[in-house]
Amino acid sequence: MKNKFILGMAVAALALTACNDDEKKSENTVTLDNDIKAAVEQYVPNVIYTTYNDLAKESNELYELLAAATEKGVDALTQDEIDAICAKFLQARQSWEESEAFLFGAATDFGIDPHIDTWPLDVPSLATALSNTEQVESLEGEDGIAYASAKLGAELLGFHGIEFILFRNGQNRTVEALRGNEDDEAFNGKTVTGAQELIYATAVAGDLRDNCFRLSVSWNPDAPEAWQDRCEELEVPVSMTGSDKTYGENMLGAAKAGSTYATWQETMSYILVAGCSNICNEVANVKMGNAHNGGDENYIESPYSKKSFQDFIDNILSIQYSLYGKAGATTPESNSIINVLKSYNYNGVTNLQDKLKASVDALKACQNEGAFVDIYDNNLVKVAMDVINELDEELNKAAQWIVKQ
Amino acid sequence: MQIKGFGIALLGLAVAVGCTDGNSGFKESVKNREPDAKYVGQAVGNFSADEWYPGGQLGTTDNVTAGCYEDETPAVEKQGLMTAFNLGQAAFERKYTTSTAPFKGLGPAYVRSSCLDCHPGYGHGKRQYQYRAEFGNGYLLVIYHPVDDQNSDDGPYVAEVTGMPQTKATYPFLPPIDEEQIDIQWKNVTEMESGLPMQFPDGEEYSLIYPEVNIPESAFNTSPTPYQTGAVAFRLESTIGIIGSGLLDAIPEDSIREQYRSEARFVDLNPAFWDKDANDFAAGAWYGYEKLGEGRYADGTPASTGTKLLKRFTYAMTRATLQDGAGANAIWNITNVSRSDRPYLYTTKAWAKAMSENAQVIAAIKADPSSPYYANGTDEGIKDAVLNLLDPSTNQFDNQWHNFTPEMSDDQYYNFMVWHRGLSIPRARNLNRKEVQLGKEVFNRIGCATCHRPSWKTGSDNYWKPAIYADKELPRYQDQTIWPYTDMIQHRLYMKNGIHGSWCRTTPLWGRGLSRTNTGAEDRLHDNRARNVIEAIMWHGYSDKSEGYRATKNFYNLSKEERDAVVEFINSI
Repeated sequence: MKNKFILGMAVAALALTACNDDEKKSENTVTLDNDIKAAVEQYVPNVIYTTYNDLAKESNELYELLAAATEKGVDALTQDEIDAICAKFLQARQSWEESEAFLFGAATDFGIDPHIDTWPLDVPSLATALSNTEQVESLEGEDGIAYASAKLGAELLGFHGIEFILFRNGQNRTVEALRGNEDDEAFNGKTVTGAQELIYATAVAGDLRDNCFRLSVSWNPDAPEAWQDRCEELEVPVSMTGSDKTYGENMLGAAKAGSTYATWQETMSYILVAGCSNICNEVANVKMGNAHNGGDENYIESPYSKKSFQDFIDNILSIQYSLYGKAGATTPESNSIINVLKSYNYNGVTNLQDKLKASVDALKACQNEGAFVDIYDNNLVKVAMDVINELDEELNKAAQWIVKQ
Repeated sequence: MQIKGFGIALLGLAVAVGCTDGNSGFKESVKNREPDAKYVGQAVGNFSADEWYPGGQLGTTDNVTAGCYEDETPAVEKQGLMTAFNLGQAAFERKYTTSTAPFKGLGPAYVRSSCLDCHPGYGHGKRQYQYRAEFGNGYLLVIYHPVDDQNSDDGPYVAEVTGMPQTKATYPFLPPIDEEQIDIQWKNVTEMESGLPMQFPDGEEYSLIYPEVNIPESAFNTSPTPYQTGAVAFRLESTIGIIGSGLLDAIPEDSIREQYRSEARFVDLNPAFWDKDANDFAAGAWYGYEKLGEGRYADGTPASTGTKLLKRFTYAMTRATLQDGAGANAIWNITNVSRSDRPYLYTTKAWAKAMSENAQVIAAIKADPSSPYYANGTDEGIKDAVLNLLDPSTNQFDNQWHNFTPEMSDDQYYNFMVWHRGLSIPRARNLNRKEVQLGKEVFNRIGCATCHRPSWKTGSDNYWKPAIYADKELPRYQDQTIWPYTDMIQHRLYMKNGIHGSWCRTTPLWGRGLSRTNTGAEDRLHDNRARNVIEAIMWHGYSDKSEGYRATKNFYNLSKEERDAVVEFINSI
């Protein structure tokens, strides 16, 4: 790490030398600015808006499916219906993980990330809450969302609360299990029915949906009106503090009065570092590293669905989509961050793309070996951590390079 | 690996730039600004090369983008402490639960369930309009008996609730304070007590707001209530930045003594800390062995009986070493998570009594034979168990009612302290810009630097550490030149509804310009009353008794260009 620090200073000195040809620099800088601007104009709507749009839509569908299931009642519910709810959960979960290369902005500033994706789930407290008839009644119906949001506490909210109700030991819950009483050991001595669990999951899904609406509306000024109306109804801020701009408008307005992004070069480096590098570090050294290095499975985030490796893959794909300019992209769009680097002959592009692919491959190798909770101390995990850290270094080198041009 | 090893310019965006937009605190960007990357590490204008690295070479991250407050110092990596740092970070960020590992032991009464709630984005808390113990609210309630029985800033804390009052409790208990009854009103200042107009000489206006807080007696689930023991007043105190705390811990006590001596010639310092006649520290400035307990210094020397360390942390400077400072305390008392060296609950006898006399609480426990408060299952037995187990003087691990076990392991606590002492300061931004250079010149000229002392030199950083991890090392910052912009001394500003106790340590300014980037907000001062830098400065001149009045008056009389330059400088360091 110290080496990286010194490297930064050395590159600064080199750049000073390289910038002596003022006329040429000025000309190139204008062109570079325009090219980065085009890449950001591709990135913001096609990566951020699209991903948050998907997330909001899918989380709404999840809520509606759960609400319908609760309404129908566990006795009439079929396994196919439960499986459909589980599939929708995983779809929404995937969109969330694919948004983690741009957690900066609304997700962080409004505390949405810790609100909807905190762990561990406080299972004993959940058992206490669901065995309290009054509390379950408060969670029921439309008002249940507001109650959940205000009263449950983040320890019982978000993806992992719903995950606990829908999955166990990597499998979808069975309709038989939901027709009986909860048998997790934290519920010993308490009687909690599957119907009560579904009431809880529905309220929490409603709160999740509201937060996903807010993510979309806070970035995209053209988010669906119904989502904007819901945010207004909830009376939650959806613009940057001290401004009426959305986060998307702010980034698209870089290098102009009123934007917090002073230059286009810095905007691109911001995407690379505050976005892509941050999730790289999180995946390698926290999500994987704390369980692997700490030798403790309790540090694993998604134990009920056993989908941790898929979460990590989706995180890395989030970086790929950011660099390639489109959600779901397997090759770069013409106006993309990766193509800006290529067209200005950045000699680290191949390494960057190689490490990106190697990271996904390494995680898939882990996935083929088993669930993270079962193999967190396996050497394949260490291999994946190492290659993701190498990807992190490449992202930082690219960011370092772009602001010196 | 979190340090971003490159010299990209401030994204930090707004900070760097132009004029303020009224009181919104939102800055305007400037077209065609060049990134500062190529100047990083170079002497530029009136800045020396090392001013780019406010935390020194061992304490600065080159990252200035969102998330940079989370970065470790180069010392962490150099000493091979990354795994501990990352595990400690999780202890800071994650929600504590009642009993689900790895972060368990929440309650029975608590202030927040996560450190991150009070330190959003690792920064300062955000101004609140209602009190809810949730993300972004970094306020601690201050509840005290005012010495004038009215609204004085001074007076002892009430004894019925904890010094850091709790508004949450785990089932079946009721929180000591019902937060839904807390009322926060933001009032406008119509006139400065000092007489300074609320319009600069060039016509630009500024406005100031301050909080008024009220909590009715019905909100207190204690017996007695604070109202039954005297007049009650309320204040808010927000969390301050946690970055760079380890570097402040490394400033030698002798250097701080010299700073006291130099200032004592001109102002009356807090007599509890400085003995003017002796020209040396007063007894109250020290934190001794009787509170610290057994420990050891970084070089292995035992810190036994007779050890005393200089107080330097918290607004009121109640804590000495970081290793027994606000964070070391908060990871225990904010969540009420016990550990082997903290076997007692952070509660009050008045709350324990109220809970033991609450029929609903008794009934709920009676219905749950697995409850640690169940005792013999009779009303009287449960009452006795609740009264004693919730009592702050009961050793939770060794008592006659129920013996709990430590909820945070010693290793977890050590990791947390590696993380705490290992948080870096982001590098300075835009020092190459003429406006920032002008700002530095004006900042020094008008007297801001008298209290916001720019730089210090760390010494051997032979830090103290407790017995619980005495054989392990923490990030160490030897022989560094650092630029925190604080004199490490308390002063009085005499603001409307000011800080409890009147005296407040000069807040370090380093890295604060990146608050908006990291947290989405840039509220300043102890209760977030300042919405931008201008307001923070002008509050220093609210009263002509303020020790910052003269510098504020000088600021008031600057041209707009110079005022803006000071703001840009403050946001760049």
